Amino acid sequence: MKGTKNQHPALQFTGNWFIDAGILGFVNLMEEVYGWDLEELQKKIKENEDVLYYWYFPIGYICHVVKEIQIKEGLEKIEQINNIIDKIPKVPQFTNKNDLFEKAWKWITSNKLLITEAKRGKSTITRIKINWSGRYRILTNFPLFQPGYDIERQKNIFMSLLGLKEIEDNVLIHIDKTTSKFLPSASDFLNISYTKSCINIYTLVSLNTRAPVFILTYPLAFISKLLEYLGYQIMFYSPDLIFTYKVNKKLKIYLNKLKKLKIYLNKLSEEKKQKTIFKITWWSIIDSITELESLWSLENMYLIKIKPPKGQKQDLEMVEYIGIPKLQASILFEDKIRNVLNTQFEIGKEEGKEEGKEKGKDKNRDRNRDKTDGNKTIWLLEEFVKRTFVYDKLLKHTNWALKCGENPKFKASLYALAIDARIKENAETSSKALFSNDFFREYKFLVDEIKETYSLLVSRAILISQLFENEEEKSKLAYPLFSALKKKNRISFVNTLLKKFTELSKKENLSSLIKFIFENIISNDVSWENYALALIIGILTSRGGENGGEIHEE
Amino acid sequence: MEEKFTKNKKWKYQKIMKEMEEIFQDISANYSQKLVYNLLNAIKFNNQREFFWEVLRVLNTKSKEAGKVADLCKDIGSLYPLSSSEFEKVAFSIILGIISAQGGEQNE
Repeated sequence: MKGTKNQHPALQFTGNWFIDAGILGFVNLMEEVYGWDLEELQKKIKENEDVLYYWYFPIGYICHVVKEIQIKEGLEKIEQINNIIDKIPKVPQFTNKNDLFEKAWKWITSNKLLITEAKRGKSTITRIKINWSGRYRILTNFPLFQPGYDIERQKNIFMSLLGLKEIEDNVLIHIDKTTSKFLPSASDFLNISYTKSCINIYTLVSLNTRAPVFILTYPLAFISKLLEYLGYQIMFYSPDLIFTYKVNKKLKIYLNKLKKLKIYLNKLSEEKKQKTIFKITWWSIIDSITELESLWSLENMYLIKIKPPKGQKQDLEMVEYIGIPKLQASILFEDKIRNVLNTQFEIGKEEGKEEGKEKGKDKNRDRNRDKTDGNKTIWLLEEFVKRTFVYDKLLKHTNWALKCGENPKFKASLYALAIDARIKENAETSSKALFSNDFFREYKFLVDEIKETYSLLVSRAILISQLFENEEEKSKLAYPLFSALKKKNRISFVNTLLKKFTELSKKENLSSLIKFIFENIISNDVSWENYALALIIGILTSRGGENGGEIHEE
Repeated sequence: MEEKFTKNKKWKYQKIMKEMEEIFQDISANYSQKLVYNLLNAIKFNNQREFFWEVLRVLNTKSKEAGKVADLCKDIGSLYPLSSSEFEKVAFSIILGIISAQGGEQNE
């Protein structure tokens, strides 16, 4: 992967997010049990892979699953399992990987705390004390966790997952909901009426030879404990292991800080919860971008959010993938653009049903609110990443500025308009193929174009503001222009503007503006609104307002 | 292909604007303002007939610039028939040319 220091890391992502989640879960498991971070783990795997997979992993995994059960059973029980984890012995002498696994299994079965006896009908069976507790809840029905399986059967399954035995269990061969809760069950695969799931273990193994191991660890990729009270789990995913690992670690730190600051997410409305999580994800990503500049892969990123099943249910209650595509990521890579987008914008009160209801109830309170009170703010970066057309939000922001007599955010607005315009124009002119040349060139040309467009918008916004001396005249002009723009009426917009131009006594620099209007508003059917809004922002920004004119050239 | 066609048209609009600017260099500010107002009103109601009637009437008085006027008419004619979106572009190019002529005069 581009920019990675280590050319052949022992563990690396495959591009299949499900296996990659398992790899991340594996790293998290080893860190939680043995305290090895990713770098250390990579070193250890390189030194001796067998030791990791046939000794440390089986012992660590079973201890970890048991610990998840013990957590529910009180402090004393947690201490007991912690004592066992502390006493995990170093690797014994071994002849081959089977021998090493046998020794690991012997150590596991020799620990009474890891073993349990269960009644099955009239007989009693001995089994490893594992079940779908805590973070492993998502593995409901997975063979290893089946309460009816005795220790021998559990051992066989573990060995087949480690590649020490042929996989016999059909459930493990044809991957369906039993293995991954993100898939339907075998009978629900609608398009396959004559065979079982097309995704089989061999497909996964062809992507990564350790894939069966990672099926066991994928639940640990999700951040759950810090979000337990919200009922869902999240995972940040990018196709680069180091970047994903770092961002998820940062996310945990931020979530922890939130908890310590007693800003409990559960007190917030559902909308605010979503926003807070989105924001802290982005803080984490931005932090990691700064730290890992050379490793920043500029690949597609996702935030995967799940609600694990509850009670007797087996289905995930919710799965949500929030994509952050390469085009947006390429633009965000630019420090300057990222900083500008990292801005809060007032967009006025939301027009909607809820407000309508509130209005009826609380008319007096609304009347008493000052001009900024109760205004909704948006985080530009979030809107950008969510791929909503930022233009609509900026239109609302300008409307708010117009109504309140405030200055719109000049620099950020124009940058955002330039980005939005260039994305629209690029979508119109570029190849419609998913993997076009632009995709592989990482859209670098687009960043240059955005900067050029921004400079143009700034200079023309300043020019138009200098044409009018009278503040009242500016406000009077801004209203009909805004109204025309809101209705997407280009004729009315240009008409109003040109009539005003003919009335002007001083016509210096008018030719630059006329050229701008011709090139970008009249001849441009794709993004003319962006350029038109830039002119309105130029007219509005120079008005007094509380913050004074913030107009300035770069 | 489509992009090339659009670019070609844009170049024609640009040419029309430039020709209008050159033809209307010596027009008075008051007359220019009145003319622009009338033309803007014609665009507002998408009245192609009235718009071109007004434009051609003024162009007819520009006997000194007969060569340039002929070129301009040829360029406008080559774009016919005009859809309402194309009319919008041609019409604004014509008006912007007239305003540019005024702006240029002031600058000089």
